[in-house]
Amino acid sequence: MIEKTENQEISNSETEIKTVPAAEVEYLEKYLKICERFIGRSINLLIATKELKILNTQYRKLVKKTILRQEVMGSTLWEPDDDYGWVSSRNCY
Amino acid sequence: MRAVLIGSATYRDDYQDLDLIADQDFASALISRFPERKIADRETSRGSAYALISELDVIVEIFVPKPGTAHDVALQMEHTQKRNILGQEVLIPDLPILAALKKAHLIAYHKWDRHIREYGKIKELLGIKVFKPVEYGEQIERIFKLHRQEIKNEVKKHPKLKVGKDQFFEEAEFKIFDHDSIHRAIALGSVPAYTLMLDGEVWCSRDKWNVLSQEDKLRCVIEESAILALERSIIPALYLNRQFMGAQWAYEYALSKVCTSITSGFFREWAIEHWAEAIRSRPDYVSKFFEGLKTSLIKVLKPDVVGIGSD
Repeated sequence: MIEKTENQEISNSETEIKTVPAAEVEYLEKYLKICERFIGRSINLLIATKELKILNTQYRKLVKKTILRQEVMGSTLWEPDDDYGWVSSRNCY
Repeated sequence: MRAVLIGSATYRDDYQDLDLIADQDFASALISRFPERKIADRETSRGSAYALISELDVIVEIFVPKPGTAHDVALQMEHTQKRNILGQEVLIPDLPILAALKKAHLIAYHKWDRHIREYGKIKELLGIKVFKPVEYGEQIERIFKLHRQEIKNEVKKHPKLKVGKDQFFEEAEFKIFDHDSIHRAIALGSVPAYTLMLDGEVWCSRDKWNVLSQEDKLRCVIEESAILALERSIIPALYLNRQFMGAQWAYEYALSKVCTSITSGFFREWAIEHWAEAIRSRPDYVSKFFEGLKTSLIKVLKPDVVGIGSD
């Protein structure tokens, strides 16, 4: 597990570069893996929720409260005809 | 009276329904045999559609095309094979006609998942990997072009792309990370595949595309699908409290969008023809995204949304 460091925001004189804290990235990655296993039906919601609680306990002091997730995800995002925001520059004639 | 059987019943025993294109006399005669079993009818810009349930409880969809439409051309063509269906003789078209009709409407999202798989089945029966209508004669190409135009008239227009990229994306709520930097993070090669087809201000140079290897073209389609999956599913799920169905679903849905509504021209045609390879070659793009965040390769545009500097 990555320890949260003090210098998570990096700046330089030209452009301010913001970096997502490593512990938060790691937390979200692990969180998503639990969700994936739930979606893939290798674990049920009860086990997934239990694993999420354990994960939250591990990362409670490493990430901001707002990052911690309380629920396992697993339903649709898109509506069938929702094209909002669907753009690509690969329109090739 | 004339009718042509199209759809999967022409080449499958386990078909779900019977799709017929027919003249009005044939349609009226069949409907009159099952008057109590007619379940729908509707007028479209291309003809009249009827649906009924036959005595075998199979749904029969009959389409009476308007003159000059692609289905009308297919109906009037010479067909050598015949079959008896519901006590009526119907004509069976050759596979290239079915392939031309199927390929033409694959740019529409309607029942897309099923249609792209059936298209693959037809190509397999033809013994080809890529279907080029022109190689099967003028009539096949005519049917394809006519039907493609009919479908284009029915589906939504593509977004105008002559506006600047920044102007295009700026307002999108999911634009939390810099688009190009995500492209760099998920690149399957040393550079994002799309940069191989850039030519100055031209985003998609046909000349550059034409000389790309098959592998590079496949990378272009895969990376385009992966970035759309990230921006429309994974990132909103992580930072905008939106739900998702997993990385596989997000990628496959994004790929279907690449093949239908969000790209066009030669890029889309290639994506449609190589959809099966793109599905099979799904990379672990979510891990690449997280790696890009960890290494700061991905630039944060909305620090407040990802929680930087708050709390």
